[in-house]
Amino acid sequence: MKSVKLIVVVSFLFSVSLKAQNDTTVNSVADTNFNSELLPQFSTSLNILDEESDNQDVSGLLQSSRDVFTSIAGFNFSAARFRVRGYDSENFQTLMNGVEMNNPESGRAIWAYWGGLNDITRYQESKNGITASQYAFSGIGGFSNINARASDQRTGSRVSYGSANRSYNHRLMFTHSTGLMANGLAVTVSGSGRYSNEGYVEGTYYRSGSYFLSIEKKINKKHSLGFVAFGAPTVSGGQSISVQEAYDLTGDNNYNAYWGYQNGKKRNSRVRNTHVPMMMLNHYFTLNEKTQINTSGYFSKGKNGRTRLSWYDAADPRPDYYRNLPSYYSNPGDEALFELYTNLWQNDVNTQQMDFDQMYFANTKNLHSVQDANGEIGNTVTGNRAKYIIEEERRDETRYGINSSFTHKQTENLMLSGGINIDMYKSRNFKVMNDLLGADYWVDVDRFAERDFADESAAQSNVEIPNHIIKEGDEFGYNYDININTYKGFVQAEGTSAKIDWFTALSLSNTSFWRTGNMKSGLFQEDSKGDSEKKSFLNYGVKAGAVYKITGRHLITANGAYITRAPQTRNSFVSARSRNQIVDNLESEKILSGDLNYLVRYPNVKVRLTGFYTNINDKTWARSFYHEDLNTFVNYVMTGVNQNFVGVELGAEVKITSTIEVTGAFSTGSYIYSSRPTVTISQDNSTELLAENRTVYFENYKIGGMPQTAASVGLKYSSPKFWYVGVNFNYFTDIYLDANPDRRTEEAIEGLVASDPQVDEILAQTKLDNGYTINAFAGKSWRIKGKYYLRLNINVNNVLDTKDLATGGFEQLRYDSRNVGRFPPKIGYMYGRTYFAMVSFTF
Amino acid sequence: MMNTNKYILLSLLTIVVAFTSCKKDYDSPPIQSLPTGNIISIDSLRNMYVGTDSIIDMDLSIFGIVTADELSGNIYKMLFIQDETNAIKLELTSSSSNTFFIGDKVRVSLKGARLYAYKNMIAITDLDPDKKIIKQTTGEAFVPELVSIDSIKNLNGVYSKYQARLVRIDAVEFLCSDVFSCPGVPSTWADAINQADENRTIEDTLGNSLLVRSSGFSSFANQALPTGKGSIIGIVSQYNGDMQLTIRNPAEAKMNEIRYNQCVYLQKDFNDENLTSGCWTQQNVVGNIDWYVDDIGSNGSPYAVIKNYNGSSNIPCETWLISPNLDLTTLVNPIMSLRSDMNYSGPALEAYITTNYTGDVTTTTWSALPINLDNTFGWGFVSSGDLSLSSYVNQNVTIAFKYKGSSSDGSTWELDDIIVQDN
Repeated sequence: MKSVKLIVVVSFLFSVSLKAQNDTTVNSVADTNFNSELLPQFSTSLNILDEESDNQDVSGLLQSSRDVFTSIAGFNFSAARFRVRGYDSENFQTLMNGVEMNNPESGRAIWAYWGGLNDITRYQESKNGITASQYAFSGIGGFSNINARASDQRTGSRVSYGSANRSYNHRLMFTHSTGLMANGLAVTVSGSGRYSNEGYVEGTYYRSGSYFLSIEKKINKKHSLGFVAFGAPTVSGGQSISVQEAYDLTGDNNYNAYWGYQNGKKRNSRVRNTHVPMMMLNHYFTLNEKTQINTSGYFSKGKNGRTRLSWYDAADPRPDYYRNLPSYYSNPGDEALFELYTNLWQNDVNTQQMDFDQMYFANTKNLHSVQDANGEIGNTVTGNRAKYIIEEERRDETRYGINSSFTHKQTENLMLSGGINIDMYKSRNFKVMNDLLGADYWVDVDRFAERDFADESAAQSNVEIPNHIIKEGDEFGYNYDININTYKGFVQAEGTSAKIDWFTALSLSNTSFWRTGNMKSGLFQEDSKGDSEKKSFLNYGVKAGAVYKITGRHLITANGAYITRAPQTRNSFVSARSRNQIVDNLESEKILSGDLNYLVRYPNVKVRLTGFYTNINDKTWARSFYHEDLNTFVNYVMTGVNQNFVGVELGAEVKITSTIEVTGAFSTGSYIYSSRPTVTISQDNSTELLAENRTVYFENYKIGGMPQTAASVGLKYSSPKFWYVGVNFNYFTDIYLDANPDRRTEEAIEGLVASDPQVDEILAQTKLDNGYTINAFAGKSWRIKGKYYLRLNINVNNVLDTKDLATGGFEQLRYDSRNVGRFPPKIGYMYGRTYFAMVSFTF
Repeated sequence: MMNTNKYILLSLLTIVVAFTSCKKDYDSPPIQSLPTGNIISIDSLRNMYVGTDSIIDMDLSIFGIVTADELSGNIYKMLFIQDETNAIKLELTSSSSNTFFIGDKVRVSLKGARLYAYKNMIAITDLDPDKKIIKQTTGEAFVPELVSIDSIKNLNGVYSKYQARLVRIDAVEFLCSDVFSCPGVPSTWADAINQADENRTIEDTLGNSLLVRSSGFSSFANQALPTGKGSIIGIVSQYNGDMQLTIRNPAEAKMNEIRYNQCVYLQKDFNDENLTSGCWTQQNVVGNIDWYVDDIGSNGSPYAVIKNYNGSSNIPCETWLISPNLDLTTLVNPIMSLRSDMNYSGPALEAYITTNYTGDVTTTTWSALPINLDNTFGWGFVSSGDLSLSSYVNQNVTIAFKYKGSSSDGSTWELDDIIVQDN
């Protein structure tokens, strides 16, 4: 009764903003729903397009849910960078055996860590929206829990081969599960390989393996012990997003600026090399019929590497850098150069792409002596000093912790649950010299500092080893740790009755983080090495929801949540690469969310209609970029960023006959910035404050980089003879470029008056064109000798091969207030026609 | 029950509509407006100058079309703009050569800038082009006003009313002393080598003249002046009492009609007693008989002469006299003339022309040049009359004379006053 009161109070508190609980299904996603295979590693947020962040965090929810809306959306909308309710994926919790997998630094689950283990990850429990969870306190997006317990895996073996033309061309996968054997042991092994020499996008490639081992020993009726280990070493070549001019010049909307020829072979400058294996020990403890306690200890350690070009005393070699494009020569008088560059861009692959041979040539013709090398007086190093290099930015993470949760069936109608989690995370961030491109050495100095400061020591990345000579494999540039320690707990109650089901949950957490500098830089001798101030955040969350059963077939549900969340470390340091300085007035984010749903559940008709309302307030946003007006590289920190998400979702699944099914999904919303954030701009090179308390007039600007409205209508025919075929028509609109905050300031339009055309050019937000696609799929299965199954299925995305559907993009942070077109936005296009076909054999 | 469901569905749809229909206006930083009263004409601005410098402290703006930009380098840190009332020179704190171009319509925010006159030329100065000049549109056509030199020089008090305006002057030509200051080499707009400004002078048929001043930094500084007569477009400026024209682009000096005041383009009269001055050369193909300069029997007027008789015998030879390269690209109707004299029997002197002189007469493909040469024995110069070289306009040519003598005979040939001029 007590709990009932609580829910009443909570629902009252959040009656303004309600939210829905949806279909809960423990779900083995059939391979007909090969979303996880097919989805490109698409960014689900602008930040990903912005090359600084991970682009491997495809939301788990989209891949797995069997909710009528989400499953259609996952299959048909993902290619257009659709985001459920407009949320960033940090709002979707991914767990394995109850252990949260979201990365503490970014808040996002990095699916690449277990990529290729689809036979295992298919078995997940997913709920979307504000929902009860017996594993952990899930956020406003929902959660997916991958069940990696050996005794829960389907007994038998499965081998499959997949052929595709997206990131990879071939996939071979094998899985075997013993099931719980007579000796109380259950073992599951799985492994896969994925490969492409060149993916859909020119210059990309993919080489990945994966392994998985899960062992469980049932000790007695009460205790069972499990061990899980997995990893997915992956090396892949990256894809850029570029400016429209580059797409127009090459005639290819999937133009990739990241590769170039070296000795006649394609080489990608952005190679991602990831391997973060994880191990966990699980204790499944059935105390009695009513109480279950699951405890896990886990450990994960591995590397995340991303290569990129860097240069010193040389021109920017990126082909789509603005000075390398014909439009740089569009002024009167430059007609000949414009024509020359246009012609080169259209006919010379070494202009269109990076020119590695030229870089090698330059590197081998740059004989240079470095005096007092490595800080040793009189030590002169002579050789070819690198003008161009490929460096690898590393984020090597170590994470361990303990997680324990319980469920307790208090009465037939009341379930209690709760849990605690202690998590220790550390990432070491540094650069490694990957390739000197034919040169003999690189000197570890900062070219911007060298330009800006007379004092030679200022430019030293590491003053303790001045003029540090860097060879391949050496660490250089910067070196720091991010430490994040989290302690959290939650309790939850769930009740059922004839007319009303309800739940409520409460969480409490403490997050503390700090930076440890491992290198003393010339620019920040006082503030670059050693520990930063430790920031600690006490956060809590409450959520509640109720289902009113009008009949068993018609339900109304309402959910609400109020959650506070510690700021992400990437936004908490003014410039983590260079110094310990923490953003002033750092605050926790506050999330208020609610939804209201109407569900229809007939055997032949399933409908969900949802209205939702969410505020995410007090976000902090930190970036570094070249500021044209201030004429220097700046650290740009914006605090008090509020976002508002209002919208509706409709999903419907109607079986017209026993063989024909019609599906529909529709989502529209208004995802906007809802505050006027405050900006502090400091020089990257020094602690000098360039601007303080600058106001960004950001209210009602759309959050860009995704369609805010998407619709899909599908038709599927399932033959009684074990084959099916289907088609979906999808429509996308309300796609906006994510707005550059600094363009929405008083300073950006200083000196301009309302009638000047620049005012509108600076302030207006660009809306991209609408578009539609058609997807088709088919499959057939055979039963052999009554116990083996052979399955074949194929899926074709974008059957019409539409290549001009821009699905997102962002305004460059660098801008010229008198000539906005000088730094045009970067735009990403959807792939043309792609397919995935798979044959699997289960035995 | 179905009714209840309908109501629920209806109310949910209402909520849906309510959720999505509230379209909100975009936020905006405060945007300055420009009251009509703060927009003034360029003429009003010029009238604000009353003999003393002043900083403009009011929030005034002028609108105008850029009539001269920094693209050619003929002006630097400077723009000229003009509206339907008048024109003004803008002096900038930094170059705008990548930003503002002829035909751009701009707003100039005057607050903080200085209105002043330098040597009687009124201008706005201390103007930051990145902040104070705001482009409105591009590609606006502005037709230059047709004026005479006389009206430009007609001062209204101390100022010409054409100051800073874009004008066109028809039927003018550069002085011959500008066009051909050196034999065969037309003058350039300015001194590109020393990056020095140069004044040239145009003259109309009435004899009125006007300075055309060009910058040694301009991209066309080393281009040849047009040698004909025609129209020229430029910006009028004033320096004390002198009026000057600043061109925007040499293509706007369309001076290719026949001059009313002919200039000599090439004049080799040997009066300097130097056979090879002005880049003339000679070449011995056979023997070593040379051309030389003499003045016997010509009243002290030197000429070039060649003969193969050494006083006792004839010596076999073939000797060429070769003109400098003649760049006829700037000439409208070049004509050539010379005087010649021949005595004693021998092969006739042959005149040739080529557009492709290799530097060696034996490897060059020559065409016969049909110029009239003396064909009667005895002393006395004969004039060739005019030979038109119009078929060689827009080409580089070399002219040569081939003298031949054998062991049995050989004439004496004399040449003088070899002239090419534009007609």
